[in-house]
Amino acid sequence: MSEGSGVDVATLAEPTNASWAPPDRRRLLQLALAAVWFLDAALQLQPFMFSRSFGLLMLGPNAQGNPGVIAHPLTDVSRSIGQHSVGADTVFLLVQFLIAFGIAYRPTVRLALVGSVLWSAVVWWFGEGLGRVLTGTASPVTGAPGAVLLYAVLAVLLWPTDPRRDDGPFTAARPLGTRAAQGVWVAVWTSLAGFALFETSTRHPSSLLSGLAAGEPGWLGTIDRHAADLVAGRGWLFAAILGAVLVGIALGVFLPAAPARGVIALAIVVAVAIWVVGEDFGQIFTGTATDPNSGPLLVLLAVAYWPIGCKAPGSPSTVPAT
Amino acid sequence: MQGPGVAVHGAGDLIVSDPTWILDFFAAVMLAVSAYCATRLAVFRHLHRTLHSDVNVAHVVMREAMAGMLAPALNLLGDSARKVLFTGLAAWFTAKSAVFIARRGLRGRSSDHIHGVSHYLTHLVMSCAMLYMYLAGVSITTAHATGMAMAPVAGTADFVALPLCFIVVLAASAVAHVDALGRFSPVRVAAAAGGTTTGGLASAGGREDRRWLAPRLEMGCHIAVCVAMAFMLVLML
Repeated sequence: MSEGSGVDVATLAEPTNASWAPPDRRRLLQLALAAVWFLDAALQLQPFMFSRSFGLLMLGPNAQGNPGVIAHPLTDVSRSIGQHSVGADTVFLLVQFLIAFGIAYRPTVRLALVGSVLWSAVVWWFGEGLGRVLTGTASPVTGAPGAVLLYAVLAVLLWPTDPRRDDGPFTAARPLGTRAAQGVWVAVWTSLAGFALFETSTRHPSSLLSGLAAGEPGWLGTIDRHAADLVAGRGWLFAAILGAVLVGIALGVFLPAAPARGVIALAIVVAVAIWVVGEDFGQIFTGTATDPNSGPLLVLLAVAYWPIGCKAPGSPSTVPAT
Repeated sequence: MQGPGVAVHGAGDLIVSDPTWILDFFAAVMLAVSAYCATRLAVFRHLHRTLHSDVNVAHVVMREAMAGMLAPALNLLGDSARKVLFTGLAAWFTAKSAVFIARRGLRGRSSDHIHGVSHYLTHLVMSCAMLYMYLAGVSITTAHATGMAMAPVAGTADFVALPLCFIVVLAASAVAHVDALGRFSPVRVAAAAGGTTTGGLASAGGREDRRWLAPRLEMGCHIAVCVAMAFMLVLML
């Protein structure tokens, strides 16, 4: 490497590469995804993750309530991770750092996004018990259907495409096309609505929220307790309102650009509210979090669907998705 | 509260402490970065190259301090002196950021066409993070379990959002630097072109006509520092 030696003057590296272009909107979203993977990897460096408890007490219980075909392999893997805790966690954090830096490094972005999808699938099963969606206890308030699933969705939606192609009405439309991307959006938000309306845990939000306060900093515990008091005895109403809002967000992707922006902004607000109140920032402050949970990823997803300007002359500022 | 001095998490014999090789590994990396940046400062004029002296000085001081925090045997300077040092560095990068914004705005680039205000803001955050770790820390004896020289005191429990903010900035900075590595990829230039072509750094004369000293190695150091500092801050959440 010529600049490494600092003396090879005749055949030096140019200080700046003329072919390098500043990140565009999609590249910025890819970098944001990489930053979340970086945070995941950093969290994997916590002392708890190197302990036997990570496998036995954190991963193992995710098998409960799942069908045997899901639960048995999960139990075996969690035991194995518990028995080889240091080695296993070292592998996990290295994989996550590789994905983060692989997405951030342009020549390897495709490989890293494929890795992101594969690793997400593995973690969704063996780390999250399929987000507990088969156990009847999944709630969007606490991160269902599993934050790691959103990593995979984002990896697909942010897949690199030819920059000369038309951008479409939003960034996420580029790799799949507008219709398919709208389908993904509807699938994500209607599934959240379904969990809100039909899973029992969301209908008892008070106990769900008050249980989060333990181990959190005082100010966050106070927020949890106030939120729990607010919804106490109003579980059905809470679930109905949340479900209706989530359905509205799901359908908002079909609106013309201006109202669609309002719906996307609402999606961001809901995601942040879920992250702060329901997920307690992914319980990062407890020392046992493996990721920031679904809130930041839902925000990232929403930004990927933010209507952008249409290049075609004479057309509206953005293309109505319908 | 979870901290670096707390290796037992209340589950009896199931819990083991943080493996110490991680601390040794990051301490070694930080020492290497510190030594490398010191070397850069020593040789850049001799090689007719350019760099940001203040940033490299900050790297030398911070990485040596981080190595000392990770491996107490390497902790050569008192905590009070460190606090003064990092307060000064934070003030310096605050001033640099303010001057940059006043002269070039938030989206402007420096005269070398490479650095934006984020360059200074990132080092400001790093200085603040170092200061936080010292202000939130207690003596070496408290951190017996992991061997890390600093452990958060109980009074900092409600400020755990601060290290999380630092970590987010470090994560963003690390991935942005990895993304920008390609900007400095080697391109062979024809010797017949005159020999003084310097791409984005070209200028009529003065400091900017000298090429940046080993930009990708400097960025690699910055990325390594982001990882190490994020590791230390994660332990303080």
